[in-house]
Amino acid sequence: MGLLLCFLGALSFGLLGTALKAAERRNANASGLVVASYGWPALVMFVRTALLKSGGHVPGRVFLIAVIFGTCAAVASWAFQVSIRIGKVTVGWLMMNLSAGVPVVVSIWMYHEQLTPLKVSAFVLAIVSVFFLFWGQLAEKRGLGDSSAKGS
Amino acid sequence: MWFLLMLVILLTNGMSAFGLKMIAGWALPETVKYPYLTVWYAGGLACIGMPMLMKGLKLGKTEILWGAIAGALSIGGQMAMAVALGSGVPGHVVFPIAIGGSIFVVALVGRLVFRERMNLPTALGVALGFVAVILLGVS
Repeated sequence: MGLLLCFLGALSFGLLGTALKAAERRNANASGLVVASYGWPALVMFVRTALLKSGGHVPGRVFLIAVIFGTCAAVASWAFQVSIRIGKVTVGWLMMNLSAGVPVVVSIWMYHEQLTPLKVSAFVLAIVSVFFLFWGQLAEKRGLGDSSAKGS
Repeated sequence: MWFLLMLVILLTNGMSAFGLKMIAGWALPETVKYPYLTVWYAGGLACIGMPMLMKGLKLGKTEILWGAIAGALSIGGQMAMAVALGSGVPGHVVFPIAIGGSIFVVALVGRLVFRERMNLPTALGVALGFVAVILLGVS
């Protein structure tokens, strides 16, 4: 049952990526889509917070980091939505997931977490992967440039 | 432009979930995550919504509908992962399957439905990135 839920989670997140691409194909405005996709969960979370016995008091430092990291998330969502208009959804989605390496680096620096061989391998592979993805995009751009130059 | 967008995604998306880790280190009540997430979503909404308002852009039916679908799928994925973790499946199994699987689904639909073709460096980059994401999930 637990494993089945893992696969359902994978399917749900995968369909999220493809739904965003489908929205782009229907000419959805990137900013509007981010606003709508943040508006619904904000409403749900607001109702959930209002039901708390504590009344949902937010300490100042919690409020501050919520605004900072919420802004980071929205900027990333907007950048992803704009990127799939000019690039591939698979590459954009992969980059969204590769970004999980950034907080791991910050945790190692901030909380002195251990740098295991597994983490080192993941970082090396991620860096090589980003290099290949950038190379692929550059090659594609040049290819398009060549073909349009030949056509003109 | 594309390269800049990829760098922005890499730096901002990864850090977006870091706040929950910081809060966990402050030993605050468990329920603080709800107001935290309310402000988190509202902050993100304001950051993109304010410039939209100033430009006079309005939300259309397409954005509202697809935004709701995206929100529902996101919550569905989070809930499936949370229940899987709650039922005793270890995190080093849940995260690689959920994240790696989602990349596989996007790549498959991208190829079959959206007809996206990849050149050799891009295909190699996706394959290596797929392994890197799984290793990050396991670690």
